Amino acid sequence: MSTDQPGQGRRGVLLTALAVLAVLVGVVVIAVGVATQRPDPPSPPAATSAAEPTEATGGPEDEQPDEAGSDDPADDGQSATSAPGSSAQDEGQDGQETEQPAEPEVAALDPSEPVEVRIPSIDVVSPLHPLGLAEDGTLEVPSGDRYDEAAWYDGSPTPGEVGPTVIEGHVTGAGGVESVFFDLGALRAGDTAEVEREDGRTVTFEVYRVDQFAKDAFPTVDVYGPTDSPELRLITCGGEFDEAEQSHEDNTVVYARMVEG
Amino acid sequence: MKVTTALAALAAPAILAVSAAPATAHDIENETVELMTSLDELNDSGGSGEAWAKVTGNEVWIKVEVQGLLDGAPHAQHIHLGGAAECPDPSMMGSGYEGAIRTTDAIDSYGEVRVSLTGNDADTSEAAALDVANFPADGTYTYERTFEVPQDVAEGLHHGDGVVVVHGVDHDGSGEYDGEQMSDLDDSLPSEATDPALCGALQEGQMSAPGGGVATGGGSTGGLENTGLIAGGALLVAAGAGAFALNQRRRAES
Repeated sequence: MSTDQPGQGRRGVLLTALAVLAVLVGVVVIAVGVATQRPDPPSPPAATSAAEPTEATGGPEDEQPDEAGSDDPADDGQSATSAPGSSAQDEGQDGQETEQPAEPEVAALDPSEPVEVRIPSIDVVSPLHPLGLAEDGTLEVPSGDRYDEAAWYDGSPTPGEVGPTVIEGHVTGAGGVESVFFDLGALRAGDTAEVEREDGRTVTFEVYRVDQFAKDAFPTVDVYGPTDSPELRLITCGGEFDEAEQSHEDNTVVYARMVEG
Repeated sequence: MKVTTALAALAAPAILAVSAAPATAHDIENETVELMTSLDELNDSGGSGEAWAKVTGNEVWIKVEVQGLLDGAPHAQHIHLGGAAECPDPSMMGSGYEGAIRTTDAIDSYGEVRVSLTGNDADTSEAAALDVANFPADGTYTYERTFEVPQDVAEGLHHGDGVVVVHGVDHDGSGEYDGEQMSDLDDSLPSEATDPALCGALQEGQMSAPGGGVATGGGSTGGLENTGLIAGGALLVAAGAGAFALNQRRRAES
């Protein structure tokens, strides 16, 4: 008995230390768990108030009656408003400012299907696969093994052809895990996206507008309508998540035009 | 809606044929052409919108979305054909209120009314151009309908010559259609009721456009997705605290 006493005492101290350690580690684990809760996907700034951090409040399009700005040189004005001041200055180094007034003239390419999309500013590199329309006329979305890959709508022009090339990707997967286009809403005017084609050519597009629309007010003509030169539309989901519908209420759409190919 | 689905299914193969060769009188029958335009304001109406149509043979499906026009007042809407297939310069000097453009002022640009975009299964011919009771009566609306048109109208649309015009402008801001001047189309109506408010020349689409939004979200990021980590941490805290308490008690007892 008496020989046990010191040992028990030592074991007691050890146990106490272990218990305290367990509590500490537990607290740290909880803290990490809470701190790394996935944030909501980024949203583009509201068109009129670029400085304000944005909640998904719905209608930037209401404030922008002339949405596409399709046939006037006001495009420059639009790019300027959709670019928050800071990033516009950053872009200035690349001679962005001098390029903006005149739209770069690039020659359209012959058709060749896209195989990969790269968006350096949000670290996206994804292979592309073709998808079509579902029976109800909506765009099919990536599924199965390719859930987390971006897809090209095979009814839209191939990148570099005249018209809007449509590329879509999921924002999240089941349980809210980030997917390939999670950060799409963080893109700003002046950012670039590159699309590699089957024929080995890479087409570079420059973002001129990022917008978020309620799905039930999706501006079909604005997004999918005809354009005079090769353009790109990157589409994902955004906004509030509707638990009842199990889907996001909005779509985030990035508009870009070809600058190099 | 059933028709829309069928059209969408038809559209993909047909669109290739459309882009390959312009439609001629005899080959529009089995061909679907997809047409789109944004609707831009005339007469400082303050409105905006878009129109999207699919035409197969003589059958037309069209969706018109409009925002920002005068509320609570009918907006006659038509497809015009036979002009230059374009909208007038919004700054053109017209014969209306303080130089406003009246419908007939710009007839050279967009041509005559050939289709009346009425609701309630009403007539869609030019005869219904001022069927005020069957046009949308809100400042913001979505209109969708499928109907048949005569052969020459179908051919014009297949050629991309159609121009969508939405009417009704409250020039004096009184909140209703009024004013001294009567309409150039019907002298029992104020000119405000028929003056053009929005215009868009239908252009052939570059794809069969998907319908509505895109379902590219799998789950909410709002919930607690790190539940495993958090539960594990809680378990460790509980176990540690328990062991500590137990140990203290045992030490106290011995």
